[in-house]
Amino acid sequence: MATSTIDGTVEEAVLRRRRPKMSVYDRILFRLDDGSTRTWAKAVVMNDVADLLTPGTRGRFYTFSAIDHRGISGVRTDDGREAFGFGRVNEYAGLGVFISMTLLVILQMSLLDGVSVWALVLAVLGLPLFLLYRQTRLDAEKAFKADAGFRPAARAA
Amino acid sequence: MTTYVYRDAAGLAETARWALYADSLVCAAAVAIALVQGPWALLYGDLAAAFGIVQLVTAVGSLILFLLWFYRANANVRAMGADGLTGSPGLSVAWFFIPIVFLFMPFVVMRDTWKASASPRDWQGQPTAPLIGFWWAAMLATHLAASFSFRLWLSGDYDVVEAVGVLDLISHSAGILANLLSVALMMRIQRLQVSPAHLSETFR
Repeated sequence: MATSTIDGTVEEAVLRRRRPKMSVYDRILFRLDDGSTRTWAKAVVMNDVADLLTPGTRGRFYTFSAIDHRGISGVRTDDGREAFGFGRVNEYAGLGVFISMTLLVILQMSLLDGVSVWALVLAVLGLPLFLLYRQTRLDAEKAFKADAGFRPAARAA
Repeated sequence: MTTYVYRDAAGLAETARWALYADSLVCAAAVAIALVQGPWALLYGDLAAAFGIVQLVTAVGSLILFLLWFYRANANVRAMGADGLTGSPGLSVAWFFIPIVFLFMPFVVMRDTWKASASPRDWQGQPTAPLIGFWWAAMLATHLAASFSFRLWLSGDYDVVEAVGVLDLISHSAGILANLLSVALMMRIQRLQVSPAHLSETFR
């Protein structure tokens, strides 16, 4: 839904929990070059990217937000390291809800007289949810690829 | 990327404020009639139809004005430099009408608009004001009670009239609270919003 970049240094990264593939941070605080700060709260980060989000890491950070779901999808550090990752759980969940509820509605229409309103509403909501998360992922990938070869300026001595 | 232009929403907020007061007054009258004459008065009394029309006009009118103001306030925080906000100003308003999602997304977008008004460039680090939680709880109570009441009334059974009356009483009472909290919320956000031309570096 929205992607953007932050050029700066990780000042604080407060981890809430780490799972096998992804980490959730209470907040990640960035210090920008002009001295101001930028906070990314309740951030979801794939572990390849999370491994680079340690205090002191300087570079370009690729952020995304979709509904109430925010995170860091990529990073390019000033010492040449880079990582990208975007979870697809919500995308698959939207698709799963859409397919299963559509099938349920079709079954109800063909075998029963009525249709469950809840199944119908969930089927209608599942598709935009899938499309929205898919589009956000594609936008994040595009933004990261567009910067290929970019190397953030090293910190002034 | 869409560029948003800051437009002062003070006039819109003032109009919405008076519309919300008017709706509160109508809700208060409904509560008073229900308490004095009984729950039947608003459903089958002599003035039921006329009062229903007045209620509909003030409720819909105040909601439209409030959402117009919210659209503008949400667009303004984007113009003030807030990024990473959910969707667009239009989608922020649309959440109020999307089934299931309307149970939580209006709270999320209002919370984010408040935070971004307080500190556009670093809004995610701002604390959530408790007023937003109270506002949303009152809004949900109003609309859920009204929705259940309407469904019961549609069933057409005579023995549900009392339950419909009680639910209407809850809906109207919560509606007064929701309206007053909406006004408080709107005025606080209005005070927080500053034209980008006047934003100082420290505020950013």
